[in-house]
Amino acid sequence: MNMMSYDVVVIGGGPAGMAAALKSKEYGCTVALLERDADLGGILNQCIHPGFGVEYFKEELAGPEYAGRFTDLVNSAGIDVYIQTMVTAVNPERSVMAINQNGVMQISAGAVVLAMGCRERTRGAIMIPGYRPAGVMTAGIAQRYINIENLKPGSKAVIVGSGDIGLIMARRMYLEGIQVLGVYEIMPYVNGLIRNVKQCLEDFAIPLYLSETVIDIQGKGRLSGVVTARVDENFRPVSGTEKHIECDLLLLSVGLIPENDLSVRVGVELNTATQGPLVNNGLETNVPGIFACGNVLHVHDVVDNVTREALKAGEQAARYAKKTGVKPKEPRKILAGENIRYTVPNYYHPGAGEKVDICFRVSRPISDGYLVVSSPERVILEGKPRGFRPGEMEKFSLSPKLQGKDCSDVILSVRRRSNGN
Amino acid sequence: MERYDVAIIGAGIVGTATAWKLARYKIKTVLLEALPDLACGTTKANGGIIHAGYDPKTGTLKAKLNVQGASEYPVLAEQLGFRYKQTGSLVVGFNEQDEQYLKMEYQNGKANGVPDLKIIYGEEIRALEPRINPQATVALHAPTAGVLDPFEAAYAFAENAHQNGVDVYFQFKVTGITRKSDGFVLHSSSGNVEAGMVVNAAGVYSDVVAALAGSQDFTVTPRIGEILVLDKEISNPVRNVIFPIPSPTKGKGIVVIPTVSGNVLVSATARNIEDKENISTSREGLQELLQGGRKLVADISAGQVIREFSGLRAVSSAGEDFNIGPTPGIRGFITAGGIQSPGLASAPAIASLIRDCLAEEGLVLREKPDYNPLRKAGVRFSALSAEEQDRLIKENPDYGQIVCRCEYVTAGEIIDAIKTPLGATTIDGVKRRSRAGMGRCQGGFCQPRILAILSRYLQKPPEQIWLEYADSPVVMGMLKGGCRQ
Amino acid sequence: METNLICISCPKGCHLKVSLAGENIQEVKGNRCPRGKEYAESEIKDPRRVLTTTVLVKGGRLPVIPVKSQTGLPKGLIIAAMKILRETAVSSPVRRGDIVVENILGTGINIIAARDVASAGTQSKY
Repeated sequence: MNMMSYDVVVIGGGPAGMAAALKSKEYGCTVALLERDADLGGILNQCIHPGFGVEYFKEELAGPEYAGRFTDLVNSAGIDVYIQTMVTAVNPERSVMAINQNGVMQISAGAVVLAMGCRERTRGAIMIPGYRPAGVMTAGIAQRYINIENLKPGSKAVIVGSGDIGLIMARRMYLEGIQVLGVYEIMPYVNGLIRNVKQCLEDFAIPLYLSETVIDIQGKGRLSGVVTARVDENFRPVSGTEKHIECDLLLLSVGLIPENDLSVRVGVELNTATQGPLVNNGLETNVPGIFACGNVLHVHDVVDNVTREALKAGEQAARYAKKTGVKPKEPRKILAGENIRYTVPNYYHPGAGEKVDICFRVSRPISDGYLVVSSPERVILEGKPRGFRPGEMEKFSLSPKLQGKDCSDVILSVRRRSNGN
Repeated sequence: MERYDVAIIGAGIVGTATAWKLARYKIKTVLLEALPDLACGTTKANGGIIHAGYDPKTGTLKAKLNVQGASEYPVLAEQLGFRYKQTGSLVVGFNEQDEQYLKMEYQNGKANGVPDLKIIYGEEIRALEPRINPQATVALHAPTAGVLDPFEAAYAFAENAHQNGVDVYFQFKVTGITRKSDGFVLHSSSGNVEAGMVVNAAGVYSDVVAALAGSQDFTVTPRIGEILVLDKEISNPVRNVIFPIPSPTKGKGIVVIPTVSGNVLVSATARNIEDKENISTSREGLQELLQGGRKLVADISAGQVIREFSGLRAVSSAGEDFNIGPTPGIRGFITAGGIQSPGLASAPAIASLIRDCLAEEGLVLREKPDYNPLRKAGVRFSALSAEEQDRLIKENPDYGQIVCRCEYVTAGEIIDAIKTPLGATTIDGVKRRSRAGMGRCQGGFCQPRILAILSRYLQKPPEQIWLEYADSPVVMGMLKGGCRQ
Repeated sequence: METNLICISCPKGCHLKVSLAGENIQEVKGNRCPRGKEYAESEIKDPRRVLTTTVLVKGGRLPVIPVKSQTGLPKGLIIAAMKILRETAVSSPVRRGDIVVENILGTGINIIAARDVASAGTQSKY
């Protein structure tokens, strides 16, 4: 068994892991970056569509380009990259077990950055009744078959769920000559980004059905068809609205879940709203020296935000490893109030003189609302009125001035301006 | 045409156990399976409970074979290298009426010869099963009950049979049976075989197979049972198989089962249907399972579900009991019909009974001197210590490549699953042998990789690799580039 | 005349209200940044989209390589461009940024490789 030691060990070589590793390296740490796939880049390698890097690089890049730019930086930074290397366990003393084709490695780490990304929700998770034929797959598997493996997953597709990957795959399949019969979303609104509805569906006249879903899957060997139906406000199928659709491919784009198997086993506490770790404003989990960033922390819609978050995690991990961080005071809570599904981070340390970057998502679409930041005693700030959608991650910076002298817990809410939505 | 002493129709748990039982004798045996793999029917879609045997009515075949079968499994698991876990079981009651019922079950169990049964109350129940519904007041505890993966047991039986000389044909669907003076000809679209005697272990199709041989004695009604698979539990897992008080109409009811791999099953609904191929799940069934599961373990939730599936159980018109034995008027034709619960628990004993029936029909059984009763279990990488893992990777680097992230299954194990005799030829075959794709992402990451490995080792293009059943390709060929290079 | 657009320049997806006099834009409302106005102008006069797809790689570690148009192609030419790219193959190794098709359909826009693909051989691929 190979015993090693690094200041910072980063688990996962996608955009989050690469940015975190680069930042830790910048701070003079020895860094190991562990990636289970044969290439760095994570899911970006199969996300061949454009739209990445608009904020970070001020350019519209394809996913693999964004990954490639960071891969080049990582490869020239003096970071020890281990590809095809899978972490099997982490312990609270930050000993990391990993395996690859050379054997088992035990790495003792000054700090650990969790950057394992997320996975797709499956048919099982949403419990669609019916048969279990071939041809029912998540949008991400279809994306891999088409974009990496050059394999055709089917010829006539129905998409259930309006997550971004599903919308993007609708366009991708259309361009490759696979018929796309429609996108069915059980909610009364779209889950993905509105721009993807425009450029992936509307541009190609692919129908979108809201408040409709797939209620039956047919076919014993290969998928032969599905039954769709409208749903009522409790998401129950409305009888009489059933439609039979002949198809040989059903893609599921019904959400992503942070992949925290390793984290949970080391004792990291999760936020039930995100399924990602509860963290403070240094992105540190409840286990000292273990940090989290990217989609393992919460599912992002834009990679530029992942990078930004990961740079912060990389910096904090480096400081922890080098013991240059100030001993912080008791943390204060950052709470999700009215119409807020979650916030990241969940805690902040007052008196550090730093602004606290907060990401949040609303729990439902609000066309005319405004952000309210308050402490238990008073309203700290009210934002300008505008629209909010659950599909878009919102950002807010709590400046030292706003934190005030009392540095109390902070509650974020989005209130409606009028009762009429 | 190949001639055998015995042909077994159906490679489920009964067929494979019978093949294993017969493999020790100097006879030529063939196991015929209609589907592309072993254990693809009732056996794969089963809760995997080895019932202790208190439930079947004393004096029935079910009672006798269950208790006998259950007592054999712990030893068989060692010899044949499959996982078996003696979890014990609890039948849980909530009131005095339930207590009366459990006392009757206790007496029935004692009469059946089930060891160590005990009626327990309140805190005793919670000590054994901390997650039990707090309202439970009384329970029948059967410490000898256990669990296994039914397909894993079937693979073990079949592989041991095969290594001791039993032939196995897949996609051999018997479509006709001709009786001859010295036996039978079994016809299929892929050829015919001749056999002196036939064992009909065709599950829900056992009536159809019997009819092909000329016997119309019984019919089989499929009873569909839907099952939920819950995610692995890291802290405070369910420890026992937990039963409700059975209802007269719904059989054993909805049971909570900890599996050998650390998942929990909620199993099963029960509804008689017509179609012997219908293994669909329903909205109502899924709700019924969640509600039923929560009666026993209150914190079960929809969020824990990673998969749902259905299986069929063979309900025979010949009665509630197993219908095992010779067929009147057709010498050498043994039927194992109506093998529903506790069929899995009884399987080793059913195999012995079938052997005895064959002997009575005139089959001469002489033991092979070179019979090997042992089968080596395949590598299960995730269960090894770090030192063992390291050693294994240095012997074969394929074990250093994890393909299934959820279950930590390596490329080496997937290749083993394919290359082993009677190995996997389908995605689901790999899954059931190696657990790759059985975790919470349900193959979301590993399916394309498993497809690539199957394609390479079977030397078939990806579009010719099936998910499970015939003609179930997961991809339809190359997207661009036309002909293959 | 007024027309509504959804800006696709960034994930915010602003709802734009564009006042038109004939083909000329008089006013754009609803944009949260200057890109919204640029997008509205382009979308009304000459709608364009960056096209991404894959082309075959000969002798590569992967069977296909992702490619993209360096800038937006006229929307009306997307399907024609796809047809050309479906018939295109490149030889490995390919480096990110390499030109795969020069001046596609006479637009003056190149199709370039979006990642590196090494030649087949060294690495195993599960």
